[in-house]
Amino acid sequence: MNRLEVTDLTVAFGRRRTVAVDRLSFTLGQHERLGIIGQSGSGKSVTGLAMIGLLPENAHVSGSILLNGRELVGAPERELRPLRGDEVSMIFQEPMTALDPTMRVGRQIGEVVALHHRDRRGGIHDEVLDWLGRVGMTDPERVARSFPDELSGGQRQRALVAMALANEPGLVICDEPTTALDVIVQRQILDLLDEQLQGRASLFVSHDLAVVRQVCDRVLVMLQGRVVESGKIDDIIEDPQHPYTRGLVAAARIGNHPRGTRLPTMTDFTEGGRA
Amino acid sequence: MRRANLVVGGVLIAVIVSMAAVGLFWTPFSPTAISGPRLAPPGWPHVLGTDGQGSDTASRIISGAKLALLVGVMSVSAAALIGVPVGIIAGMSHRWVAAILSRGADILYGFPALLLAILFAAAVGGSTWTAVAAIGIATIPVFVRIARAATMQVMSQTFVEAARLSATPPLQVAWRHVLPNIAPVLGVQVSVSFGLAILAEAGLSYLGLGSGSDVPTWGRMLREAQNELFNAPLVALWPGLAIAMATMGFNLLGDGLRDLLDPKLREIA
Repeated sequence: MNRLEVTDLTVAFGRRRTVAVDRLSFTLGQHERLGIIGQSGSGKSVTGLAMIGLLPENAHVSGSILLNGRELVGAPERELRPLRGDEVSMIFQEPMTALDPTMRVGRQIGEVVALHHRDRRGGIHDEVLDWLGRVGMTDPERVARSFPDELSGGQRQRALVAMALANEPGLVICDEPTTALDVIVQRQILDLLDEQLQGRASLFVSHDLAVVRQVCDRVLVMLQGRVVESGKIDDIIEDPQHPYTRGLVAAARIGNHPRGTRLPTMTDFTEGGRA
Repeated sequence: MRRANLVVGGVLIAVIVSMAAVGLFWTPFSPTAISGPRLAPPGWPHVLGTDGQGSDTASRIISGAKLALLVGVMSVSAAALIGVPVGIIAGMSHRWVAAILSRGADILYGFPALLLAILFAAAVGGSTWTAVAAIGIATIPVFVRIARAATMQVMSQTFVEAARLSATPPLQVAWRHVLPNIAPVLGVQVSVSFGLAILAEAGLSYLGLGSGSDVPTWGRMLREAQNELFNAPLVALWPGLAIAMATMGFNLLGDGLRDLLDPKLREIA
């Protein structure tokens, strides 16, 4: 059985039904990683949020999302709630706003652990420290006692990874988990994710082809709510079919561009920005 | 000077509070009995002189501080205890629940404390408690609004989404995440409302809608001094000064706290 089967997923917002995701279909195997790449407004983040039932109230969702064979579209909140954290969780983009500034990091992770393991209160602190160690914190005790503003960006992102994985979910949605970080820290976090996502399925939302290439084998390229290209990431980089993808690949290879000539823009590939 | 308002406000409030604390156990003379000649000028033993009845002004001011603070504490804490939970619920709930609660607060906002006090005085007779109720009820919508606005801001943060993601119950989100994050804003509002409550109490007792005639309040002293304004202007000065000090103290403290808690202002300073 596939971990995730999405068929004709359409998400529209508001009274005017502005379409953000248009008849999207894909499947995700038990231990597969799928990258979703696209620019702002392409519907990639909305897709990620839909997998977890966290879209805003004014979103209209149709189509089908099967998580471990269970239908999520149209399921009532009380059926979705137990799935969150246990079967599917999310790593957010902005590590500063994703942690409560008034709460110590250890306690925040502990709350997630406690919500899903009500039976063994005593072990929660040890479990938190264990997780902080597993995400590469050198001094878990100190980190657990710190407030988010006392940690570096990379440490905050590690704490978020620990929070997302604390309940061993089978599916992890990563929504631009390295966008707010500098390149070196980005590298470390990607290595950490690569290691921690072993044995789980994940959906990796990003606008950066190079980042997706490091962790995913397969990728969907989205533009204006639709998939314009999909397949093995190496094939796509080697031989992009859609003009938009060609633009993305060219932008990633900007280092090879001859000096003194104008840099390419997306319109060179897509005529007026439209596909 | 940096944070001058915080310091000045703090000092003014410290003066009022210590006056009230002393007044609980001791006043130079009885604040209600006749203890000297009428309208005596400041001197000894009547440091601030006496009023039109011959009562010691200093004793009445000290005794009035007690009542002003009592009314302030009771009315503001009642308003906050009701207004803040309502505001948080409004900020966290679906559109129509939020709309009902906010419109309710808006309707309440239309009744000034004075109108409520007249209403209560007409219904059950004016007393310290009707003044507390009138000021308290009139202050509820202020807390509803500010708590709702601050809650909505917190709810839009990713960490709330993360909490929802791990299926945290709403009550726990409100208690663990929302309340600690909006506490600074509420603290500022408590201080500002406190000053306004003292001013309102003085206004109500000036109009005779507050505490009974046996209780010396700053507002009542002001009205009694009005009869002798041309003979003894100083008699009116003291209660006026006390009201101004208390109101200004809490306003400055509120302003100071706001500056202290606003990170943007903090970096510039």
